[in-house]
Amino acid sequence: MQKGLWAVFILAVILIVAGVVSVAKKGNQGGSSTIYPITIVADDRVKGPADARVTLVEYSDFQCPACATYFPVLNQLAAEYASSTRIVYRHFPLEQHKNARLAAYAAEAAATQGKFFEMHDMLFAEQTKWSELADPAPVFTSYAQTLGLNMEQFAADGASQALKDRVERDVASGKVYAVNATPTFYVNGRKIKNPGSYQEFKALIDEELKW
Amino acid sequence: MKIPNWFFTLVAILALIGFVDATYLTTEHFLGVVPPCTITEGCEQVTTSPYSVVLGVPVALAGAIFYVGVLALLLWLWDRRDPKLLKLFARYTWLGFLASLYFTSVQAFVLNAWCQYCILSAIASTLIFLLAQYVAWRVPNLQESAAL
Repeated sequence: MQKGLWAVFILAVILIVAGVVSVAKKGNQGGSSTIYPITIVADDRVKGPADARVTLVEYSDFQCPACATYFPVLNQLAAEYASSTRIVYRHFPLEQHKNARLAAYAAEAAATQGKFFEMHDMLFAEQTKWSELADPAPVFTSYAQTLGLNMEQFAADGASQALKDRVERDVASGKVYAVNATPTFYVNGRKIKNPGSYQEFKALIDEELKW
Repeated sequence: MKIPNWFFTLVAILALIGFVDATYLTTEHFLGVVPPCTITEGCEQVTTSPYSVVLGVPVALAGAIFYVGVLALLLWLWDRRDPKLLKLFARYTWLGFLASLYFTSVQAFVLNAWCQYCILSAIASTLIFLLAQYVAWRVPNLQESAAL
């Protein structure tokens, strides 16, 4: 067989690989330059000062594994930028996660007693323990007990329509801001590509703080 | 002996689809960013599951190499038109077919989750397998009937 034919073959394979790799890398950037007018309201779940120069909004799902991996990253950011950045948690429970909505309700029920982030932390830290349960409610109740919540109120709030509407309000707003995956982050209204590391995330915030 | 031209064209197209698909999954694997959970595709449970790596080799990479093998053998066969090579080619495609069968079952029965790129590859290698078996069985028959 002609050597030329094989040379063309090998070249074609290399070109295809190079092409696919560059497309895959671009696909991973996924950020946008649109600035969404995300208004933070009184009953949003916020960590950090109201007059912060950087507002980081996260649309998240307590049952989403990727969200759980960002949980320590965001905690570290909250600690390091306590005075300059506020972090807003919004619910975006996905349909394929059967326990995600109930988890969101548990967090909101804890919020009415001022312990949203305490419940949020427990839900993420223990995610693998309740994700696949047929009925996660007893586990969520036990978290509420651990947090020292008033259990009667927790049960009543968790079942209230107002609280469910509160969660759906977040989902609806996320759809307006083109959330199509969890977690999705907005830095001062701009949808960002999910950072690959703490350092990358930090760099994005530092960039905002420059202005 | 005569191997029909449509066979070369179809297999080449399928193998190219499979190759691009597997290369894409391999790149995603090595970029290593935790894949987000999307509205349409789930959480990429499949491509991040323990089943996505066999003996340290990402399944996607093995798939890409398999398709390069298909394309190389096909080119060789196209050049030589040797019945022995056709047999070898038909045997080689068993690899892709059996792997597809196994990984599709893992998705259906173990993970209960689907990865659309994996399904695409399973379809491509199954079709390549069927075409290769058909032609390998048909072509010597044609030859015999011509000899009669």
